[in-house]
Amino acid sequence: MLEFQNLSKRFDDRTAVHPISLKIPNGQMVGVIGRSGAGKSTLLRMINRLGEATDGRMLFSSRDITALRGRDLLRWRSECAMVFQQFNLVGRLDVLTNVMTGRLHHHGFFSAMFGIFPAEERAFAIRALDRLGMAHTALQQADTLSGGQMQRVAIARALAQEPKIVLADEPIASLDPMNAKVVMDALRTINTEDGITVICNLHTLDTARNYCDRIIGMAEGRVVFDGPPVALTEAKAREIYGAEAGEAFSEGMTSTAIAATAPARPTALVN
Amino acid sequence: MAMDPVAGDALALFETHRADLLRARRTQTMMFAGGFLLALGLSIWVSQFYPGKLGPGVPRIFEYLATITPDLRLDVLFAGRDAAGDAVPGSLTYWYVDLPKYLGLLAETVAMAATATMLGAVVAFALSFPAARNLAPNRWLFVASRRLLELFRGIPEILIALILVFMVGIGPLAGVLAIALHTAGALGKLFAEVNENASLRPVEGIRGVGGDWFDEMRYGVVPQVIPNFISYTLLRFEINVRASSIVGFVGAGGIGQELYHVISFYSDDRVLAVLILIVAMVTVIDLISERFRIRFIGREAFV
Amino acid sequence: MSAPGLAALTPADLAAARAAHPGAFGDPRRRAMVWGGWGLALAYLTLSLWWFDIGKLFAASDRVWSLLAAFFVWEDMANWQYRQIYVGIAQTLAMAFLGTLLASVAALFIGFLGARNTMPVSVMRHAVRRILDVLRGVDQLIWALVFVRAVGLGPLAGVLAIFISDTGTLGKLYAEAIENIDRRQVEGVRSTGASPIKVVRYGYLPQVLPVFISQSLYFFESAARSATILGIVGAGGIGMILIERFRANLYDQVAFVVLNVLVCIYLIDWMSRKIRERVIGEVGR
Repeated sequence: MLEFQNLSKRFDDRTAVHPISLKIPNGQMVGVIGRSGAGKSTLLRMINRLGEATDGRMLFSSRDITALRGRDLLRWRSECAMVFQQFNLVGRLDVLTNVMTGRLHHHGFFSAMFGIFPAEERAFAIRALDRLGMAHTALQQADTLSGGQMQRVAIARALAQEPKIVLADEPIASLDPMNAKVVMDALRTINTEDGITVICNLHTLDTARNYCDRIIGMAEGRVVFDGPPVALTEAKAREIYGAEAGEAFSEGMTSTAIAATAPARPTALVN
Repeated sequence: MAMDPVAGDALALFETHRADLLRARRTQTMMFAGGFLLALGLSIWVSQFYPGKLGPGVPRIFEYLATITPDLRLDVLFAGRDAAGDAVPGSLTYWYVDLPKYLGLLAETVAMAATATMLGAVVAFALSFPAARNLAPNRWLFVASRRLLELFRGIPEILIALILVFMVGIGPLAGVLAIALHTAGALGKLFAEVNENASLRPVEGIRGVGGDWFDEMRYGVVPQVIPNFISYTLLRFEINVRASSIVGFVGAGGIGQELYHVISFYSDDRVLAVLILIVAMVTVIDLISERFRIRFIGREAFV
Repeated sequence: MSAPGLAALTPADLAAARAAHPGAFGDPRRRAMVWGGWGLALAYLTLSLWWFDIGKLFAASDRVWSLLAAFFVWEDMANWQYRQIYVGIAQTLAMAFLGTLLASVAALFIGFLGARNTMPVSVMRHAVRRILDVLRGVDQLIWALVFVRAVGLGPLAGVLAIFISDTGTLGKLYAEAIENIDRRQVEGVRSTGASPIKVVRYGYLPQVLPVFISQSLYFFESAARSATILGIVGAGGIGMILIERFRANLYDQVAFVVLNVLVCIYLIDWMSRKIRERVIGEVGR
């Protein structure tokens, strides 16, 4: 269980996230939606502490996450994997090494500095890549891959961390619709098969509806909706996206369009 | 002819503006010219660079060049040693009779440069991460490492060599350490600039998996910057070969020590012999190093 | 299928992964080469340091400390010959100024002789370029040493050393600048029936002069830096005072002089940057 208690974030004169209190049970797939600048990214980055909260607390299994320092903080980050919009892979390293960097937290100084990864970690990394259908690229340099492939490698890196939570910050915003589907299917698979909590920032409503158990809508740093996809009415969606009353509003407008409706619970692995 | 008063005003206004502008430009030019002439006069006076001194000086340069030129004779140019084992005067063998000694010193010079470059590059590498503004773990370490690098490269290497010769005695060690220190400063600055230009996305990626600062540098930054580091280090090696051929002037080893010796005590054709060897060595090292740079890093690394 | 964790991997899983992706478990030949390379570098470093007698650095520690201390404990400051020191610094700057000025004038002519578009005779052009290579190939300090033997101790040797080595570099840079100019402007002047000298004056010079001036200023900076050490071989300037104090074991004065030199170099860099901004800003318009 991940619990926020009045968590908030201020930049100098602007409040990016107003105090938020939420509970996210283990194994849930949560979609956070809202316009750009609604505070989604700030919220997500506070969870694995890439960004610091200004106020409030965050608990995971009744452990205070906001108070972690030093090694404990790094351990928390290793348990709480992050998938970035721009993938944030190391372009000049090969794919396999990129995935194995997910194990860095468990390495001592020297094995990390000299890049010595034991055979178990290599096999594990290959399995992770294989689940995403990327094992054949293991020895390629990461910057030779396409965007969609890179994001799948980034998810494999997250899997290599053996995380309890996967955070995905706009994972499909830089991808074309087909790749976006592949990536979202993969995240959903991780959630259903491994029971990993997935918290995913999306700015398209239909994607969130199709993949998530629960949707959190944010507007101007506040949570304005929290509930299952069926409870999200058009009026609520208007509020989240701040559409004017008279304006026509359709969910497709918020979409970068995954053409065919994806299955809510994919059964097969991507390949 | 009656003049339109308004047009007359405009013309007068233009003329005054023009005069003002011209005057301003003229004053500035005069100031520059005056400052330049003043500097020139002062310089000539302070360094006593008078034609009277220069007059007899110039012919002496040519006289000196004549004394260090060997008397080569075409008929015996390639003659080896005679029956008694002596070299024939006028032959190349006679001119370069000390060649084995010179070659040993040249090897020492290159070895000094190589060792110093390696030592300096290691220190530069270590300091370049805290000395990069956007990577330094904290402000204090950033300022400290920046100042340290500035200190290292601010003092000319021959001056450091001079001090080190007094500290550790005459010999190549002083030269190696002096060049290594200077290299650490010069390369460290370049490395830090390369680091500052590296993309921060991989760094954030590594931070996201729970890596510490060292992991971030090792996996997020190093793979991006290492080709540039290697090419800068090879360029520095070329510069250091030149440096290690002169630190010998203050007793810090290498071929420079021999050059200083032959210039100070003999001033004969041996001076030119050593000079030619130094120029040849520098040229050969430059060519080899350039080959390496292109082969291992590729041309695109230099644009 | 829930994926097993890392700890749950069995030897059979490992073997299967190894069989499917043999390359992923590291190429032993490559690994041997990488480690071998590092080993060789380390071996060379150790061996060469041993050869250069690194032990002396630690053996002489007592003397080293007292020497280092002498740099920081300034004694008898009232009797230091400040006048001599500052005249030395002035002389250094004068040497740098004159050397660079002469080199710039020489390079102005040599540049036109060494550029492809102003020197059609390729033999002549190559000869000029090779001579410049030699001037550049010999270090400034070596030139200084040679000139001290030729014209005697003092700043004259220093000026000549700076002049010769800077001519080598400036000549090459000037020639390259001339080769990179806009040809149309030259043709415009030539079409008026101007003589070759006038073509150079009105077609080439206005284009290349800002580049020349800014490069000469850079070289003045670098000459001011290097002129501080020319005195070590007797070629005048502050270096002579430095080495004299050194030989007399007056390390506190050495430290003082070095500090002054550093400040001075900093000032020159600053001034030269200002002038460059003005000159380039004005002529570049």
